[in-house]
Amino acid sequence: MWTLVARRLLIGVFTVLSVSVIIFLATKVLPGDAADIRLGQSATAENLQAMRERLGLDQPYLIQYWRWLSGILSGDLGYSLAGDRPISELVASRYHNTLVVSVFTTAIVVPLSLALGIVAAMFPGSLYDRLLTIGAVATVAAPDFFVAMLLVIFFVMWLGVGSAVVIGNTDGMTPTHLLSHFALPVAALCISLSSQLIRMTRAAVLNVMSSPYIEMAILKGVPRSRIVMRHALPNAIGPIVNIIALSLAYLISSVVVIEVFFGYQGLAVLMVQGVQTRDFVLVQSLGMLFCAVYVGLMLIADVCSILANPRLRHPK
Amino acid sequence: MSDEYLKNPDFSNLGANDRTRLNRMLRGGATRRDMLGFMGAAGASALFAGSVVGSATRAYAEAPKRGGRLILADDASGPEDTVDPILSTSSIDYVRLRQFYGSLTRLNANLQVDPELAVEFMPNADATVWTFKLREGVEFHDGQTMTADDVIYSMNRHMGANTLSKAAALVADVDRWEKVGPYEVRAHMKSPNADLPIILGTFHFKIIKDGTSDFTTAVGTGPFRAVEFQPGIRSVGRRFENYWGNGPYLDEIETIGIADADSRLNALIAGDVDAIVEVPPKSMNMLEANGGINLWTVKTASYANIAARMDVADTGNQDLILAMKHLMDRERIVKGVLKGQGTLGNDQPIGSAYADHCADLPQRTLDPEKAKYHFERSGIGSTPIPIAAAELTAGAVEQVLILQREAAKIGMNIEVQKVSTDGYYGSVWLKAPIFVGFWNMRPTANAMLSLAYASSAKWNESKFVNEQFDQTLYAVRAVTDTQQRSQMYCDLQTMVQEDAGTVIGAHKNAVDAVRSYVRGMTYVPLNSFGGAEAAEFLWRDDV
Amino acid sequence: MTQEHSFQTDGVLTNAHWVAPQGDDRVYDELSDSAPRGTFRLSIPGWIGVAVVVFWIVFAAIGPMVIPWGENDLPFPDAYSEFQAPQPGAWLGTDVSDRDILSRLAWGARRTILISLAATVLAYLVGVTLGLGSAVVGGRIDTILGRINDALLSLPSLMFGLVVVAAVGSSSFILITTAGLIYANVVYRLARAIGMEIVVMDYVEAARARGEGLWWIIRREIWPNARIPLISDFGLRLIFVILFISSLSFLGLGVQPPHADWGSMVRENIGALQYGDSMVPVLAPALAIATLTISINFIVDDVSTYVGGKLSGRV
Repeated sequence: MWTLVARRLLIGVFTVLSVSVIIFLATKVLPGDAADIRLGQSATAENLQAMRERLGLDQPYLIQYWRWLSGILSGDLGYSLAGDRPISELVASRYHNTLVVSVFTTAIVVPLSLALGIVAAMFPGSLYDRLLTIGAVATVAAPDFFVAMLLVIFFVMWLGVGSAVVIGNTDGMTPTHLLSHFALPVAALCISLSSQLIRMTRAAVLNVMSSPYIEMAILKGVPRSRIVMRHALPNAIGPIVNIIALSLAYLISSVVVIEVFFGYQGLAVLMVQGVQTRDFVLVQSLGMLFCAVYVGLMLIADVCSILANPRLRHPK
Repeated sequence: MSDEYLKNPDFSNLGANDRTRLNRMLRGGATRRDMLGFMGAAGASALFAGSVVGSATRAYAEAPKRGGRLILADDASGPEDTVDPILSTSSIDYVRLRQFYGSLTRLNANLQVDPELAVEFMPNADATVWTFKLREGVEFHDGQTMTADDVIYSMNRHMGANTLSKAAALVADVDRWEKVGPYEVRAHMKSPNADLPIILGTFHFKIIKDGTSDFTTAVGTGPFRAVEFQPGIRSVGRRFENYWGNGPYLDEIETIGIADADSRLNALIAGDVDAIVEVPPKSMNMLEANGGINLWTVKTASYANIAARMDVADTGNQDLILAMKHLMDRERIVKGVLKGQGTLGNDQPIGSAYADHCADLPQRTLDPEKAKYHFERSGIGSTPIPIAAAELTAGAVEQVLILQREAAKIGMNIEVQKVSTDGYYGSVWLKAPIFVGFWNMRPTANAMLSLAYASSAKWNESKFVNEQFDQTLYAVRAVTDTQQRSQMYCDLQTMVQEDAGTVIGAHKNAVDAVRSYVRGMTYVPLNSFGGAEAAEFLWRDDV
Repeated sequence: MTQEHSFQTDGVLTNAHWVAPQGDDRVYDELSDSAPRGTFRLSIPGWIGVAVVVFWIVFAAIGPMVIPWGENDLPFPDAYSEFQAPQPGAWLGTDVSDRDILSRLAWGARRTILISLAATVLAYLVGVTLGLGSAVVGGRIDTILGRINDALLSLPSLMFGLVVVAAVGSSSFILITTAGLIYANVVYRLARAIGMEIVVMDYVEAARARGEGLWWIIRREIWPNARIPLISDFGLRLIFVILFISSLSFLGLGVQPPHADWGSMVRENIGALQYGDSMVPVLAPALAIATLTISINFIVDDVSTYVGGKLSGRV
């Protein structure tokens, strides 16, 4: 079992390294370079060359890459080109929002979707199952900003509860207070994620349901709900843990539209600002951060599934 | 105008009925826009109307109340936000600078200069040396007293070939700054400039402490003390108790950026913020019907335009440029896109908000016949004409769509290339053959024309080169005779209108909005939030 | 031995896949969610789905020819009024720039369907070729492709799109290529997983034993068996491409104006919810996306049910 875990770890490290190459090359594709950005409209041929030398941009790519990577490994994320601030500082003031929203969304949407998905799997083809499936597809099909606008109009404009944007300092807020602070973005994300989670849960449970031992139980006449809860569900834990990990990775890196719409600053929006202002250093560092988070979450999910699987826990 | 007059406005020029109505409007809290409209209708000249309204609204305004907190929402904001005066580039930067710092002079709603940290400023006979006497007893937020050293340090940051200042071009004609005494400084000019005090009243020339190099927070002499500044997230200013002026009235002021216009509007309607910039013009009817919100509009000469580079063979085609100028449906931009919050553009930048606007210039209108004539002469035919566009301001892209629609009718094939707003100025603007631009109003017509149309200007969008234009532009700076001066400005505007490669469809008012309890707005036409000047004067009626 | 599994319905989670250490090669999801059935038959929702999809295709094909206005034309050139309610001359009203919604919906149908279709086809061409190839060839090539795929999946897809569009500008071609390549990653996962399942079958072993070439095996043995489960995922992929492009347009990129696509139409007209006289400008394209995607999904469900049966029967 531990060799399995070690193998996963190695694969993870390898993935992070290959991503670092991709990210490094991708930022070289963008028009302009860091020296251009630094100097802006005051750039001349001479000071541009001087700035390139100062930033090490005249070096071969391989050396630039090595410097950048070793910097990151030693915990130095570099300085943002646009604001000339340490990137670690920019991240520090934003990860909090991202984390709070991600945790709340996961805490709400995962149990809810699991419950709905499992019930659907108990009665496949039933009216409930059909309606749930249609509802899930309908919400998948709605663009995030459309859902967010409907939520604002309904809750804030009509019912007069909550805030249309998320602003203000969250220091010292209690969890309940925090939840109401981030209520609408969390709700919008729950809606956009739930349809996926419901479908996946339902599929994962149904998949286990078609295993021979379940068929045996059905033939023995065990009630279907009991089969799902006692026999199928424990074996679906692996996939379900993966589902949770994936939602978290998504919530941290890809919720740009929601962050922009609700006007709070998170990591995803910081990354977009980096791309849009050609802040290569910021883009590279955040890209690595997201990749590490993704790989880390996948790793945790894998270890959990290994631990949850008796066959792997006790290898023959 | 004397203080006495301000306290007792005299409307004797108006008829009795109008006088009564005007008084009623003033007491009823009419907006400046309402007032100007009314005065215009009553036959008052624009200038007279402006001054009466300016003084009268001040006279009738209730005494400001102290206390309370406001949240201002500007638009774009990000890690590039700064409180370093010389590096600031965005509207939100300017708004913050005004809260935390002071400057030597201050511009008012008529773009005239009022004293601020300099109590007196006078030129020598030929305007080659300017002497500034500084206000004494002004304190920085850390308790130190402001002296000439701080001013010299602040001004020198704009000097030299290696300066990082975004505004270095504005003071390029200053040779050096000299400290005369602890409260007196001098600027020695390379060439005469009567407008130096106006320039020093603009955004970038704020006074910082001698030796400051760390801008993670702001230490200035401004009305608010920075208690929090996180780029892209928020800034919070608390009232500076030792501020030298009357204000500020608020206890605290928070400034944030909400990039998405619809979200910003939501935030104001929901009451999450107290003031927003750049209301989508199409939402104005709804906002005006909403009892809790007032529009905050300032007539400015800012504009979005389309520029064709005349140094590129295809787009330098004068007939093509003229065809585009005749194809621009200016009425539709003003009425349809800006919903009346703007004035017709006339292919030159000096709109009617400038003192030196030339009213005699014939107004260009949509004229498909003329356009067709020029387009056929251009020989371009159905070759696609690409126009790079980004939504730099409300209507920047839409003007191109409007042009494209009219162009299609005469067989001109315009291709819109929409790109991202951020990074636009670095990689597209001035570089694409035809592109859209956005210009804020400048304090003087000369500054505007020098920045955007002098043949040597870095931001000369269409690469307009005209020797006569350049000569007139420099010569007029020294002309004092009013008639000769206005003739010269008319000549300049005519040359731009006829020969430059820029299509200017409309000048756009600044349309911001506040919750109805917000008072004390300023109306300087150079930026949103009343020229970014409002912080010191804003107050809440409900505290 | 460890096997890798793929989500078929990963959707908004474009990165969705997991690496599950279980000794089972089956692809999760609807593939195996119901009893085997003999012949392919559409259910009632399936028929509704077909009808709606056909409607939109016909609308996209003929609409722009029949409807009087172009994408940038004004039905009421003398009126300066956006978000007008449906009325004669503009049967669905006008949009934020005074243009005819119905005409834009028709042009948008054509563009939305074509772009998402082209991007999805591209994703399938690349993803299926590499995925099935990997499964059959195995060994080092499979490992290398798998790691590259892992790496690409760990990057947020919207960011990837933004970088590309920022670097080379936005055009239909770029949108199709970018979306196609992003989703090719997911299709690769799926194709490889399905391929792995088939590769171990006796008939493939037999073909190998006969000494058939790689291309022959893929074309004659693997593809016919992998075809249907792959196609059943096609509809969902289409939805995510539509949403991907609409997210880009939220950030100010995407399809070039004045051209219409449904996602950008929702974005352009979102203000109608707040201050429009009519909400049709934003509801019409939103409903168009919803009905098209739900209908495709109905059909997909029927196909999956049928395929699920076939697969379970075979395994």
